[in-house]
Amino acid sequence: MILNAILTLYIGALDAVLGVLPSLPATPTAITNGGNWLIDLIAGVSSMLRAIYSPALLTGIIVILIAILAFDYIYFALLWALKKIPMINIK
Amino acid sequence: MIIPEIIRPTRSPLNKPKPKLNQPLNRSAVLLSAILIFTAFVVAPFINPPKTQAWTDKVMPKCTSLSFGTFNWKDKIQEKLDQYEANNPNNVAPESWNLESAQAFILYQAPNDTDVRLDAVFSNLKLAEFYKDPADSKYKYQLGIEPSAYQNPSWSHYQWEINITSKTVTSVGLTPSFATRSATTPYPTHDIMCVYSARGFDYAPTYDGTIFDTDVPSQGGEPECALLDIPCKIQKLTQGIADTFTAVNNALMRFLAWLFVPESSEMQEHASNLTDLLNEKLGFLLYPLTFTVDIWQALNDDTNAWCTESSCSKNTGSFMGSNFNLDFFKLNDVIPSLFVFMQNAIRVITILGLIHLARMKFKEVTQK
Repeated sequence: MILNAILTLYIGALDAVLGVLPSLPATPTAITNGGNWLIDLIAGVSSMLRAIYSPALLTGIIVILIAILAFDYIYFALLWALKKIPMINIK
Repeated sequence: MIIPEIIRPTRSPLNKPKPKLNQPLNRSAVLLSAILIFTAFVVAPFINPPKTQAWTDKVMPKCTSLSFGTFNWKDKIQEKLDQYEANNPNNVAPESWNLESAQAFILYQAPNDTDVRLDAVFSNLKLAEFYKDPADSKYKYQLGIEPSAYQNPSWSHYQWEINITSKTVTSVGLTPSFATRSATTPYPTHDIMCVYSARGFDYAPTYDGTIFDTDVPSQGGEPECALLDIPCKIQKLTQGIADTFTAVNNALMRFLAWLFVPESSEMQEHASNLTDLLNEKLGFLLYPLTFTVDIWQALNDDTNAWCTESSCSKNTGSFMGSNFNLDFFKLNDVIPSLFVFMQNAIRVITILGLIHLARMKFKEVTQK
């Protein structure tokens, strides 16, 4: 009941705030069609890869692939974080 | 000699000034009173005292309410069902028995047993309608269900009670099929969970669905204590106090659950309202978020996964917007061993490629 009341108040307040503003136009149909086509493509490729590799192996492949391709950025971010720790004394 | 002066109390209890009405009240007292009043008015409706049953010609039968907290119906009923089927190999339980739907119950009399034992479990289903028959001024009941097995072909609602009382019915399996029978009106929904019995069974407040250890209580409830039976009266008083505490505790638990735990349908309604509002007002600004969610769902959706099992007939795939028969997966039906070999070969080649890629990256990093 308490959470319901909070959510009702929140949605009501949001409705009141947004009610002042004009409604923005919807996304053009051409863009949504293109997005749907892309989503269908991704779903098809994803399901095909899952069928070939199995979901667990596919997850591992994707993780390793991202780790290799984005190695420089990950390394830079990790080093930047380690440099913030004074006891390690990494320069 | 000095005579001590008599000390007179300046304020005796008798001449203590009376509190004025316009004085501020004690805060603690006000707070405590507020809590008590709030508890009485808010928690009291949740108190559901245990009810007993009484079945006589002139008394309307009642049901014993059982909550999920005190009646683990799945285990209990499954145990009884197994026992019933073991004792009656040629008379199995109705096929429509469904533990998941929680809308079925079984009712039986154990073989060679002198007592009729009833166990019924149902939820969200009103099974019985009680009415007063003007012909004989007796209270009878109608069941809004279809009996799947009964001994007497001329089964009727009142006959059923007589049969049970006379122990001619050995087993009755009932399924909630809602077939209309002889002025039986189905009541599809009723938010109640009860145990009905044609006889006057008195269930103890702590009854958890197990079979009575002793004889079924006699009709009309437990006998009253004798006038001078002090131990009996003390026992009833103690039991009453314990029942009260149990009822208050259960009521508090229900109240707290009602207060803090929203139901999933309510949360779904809030989410739906919020989505509709944002879609209406934000328009195209919300599309990137929707697009991201759709992609995530597409990546985790198994419903459109291509089937590689030989038992499946779904060997066609969708790719680039066109449907076609995917011969590679069709191979799984024709030559499964070759399909598995090719599948493993692709996996091994991919893993070797990843290892090679990692090695190249290692060289690139170390040679910098």
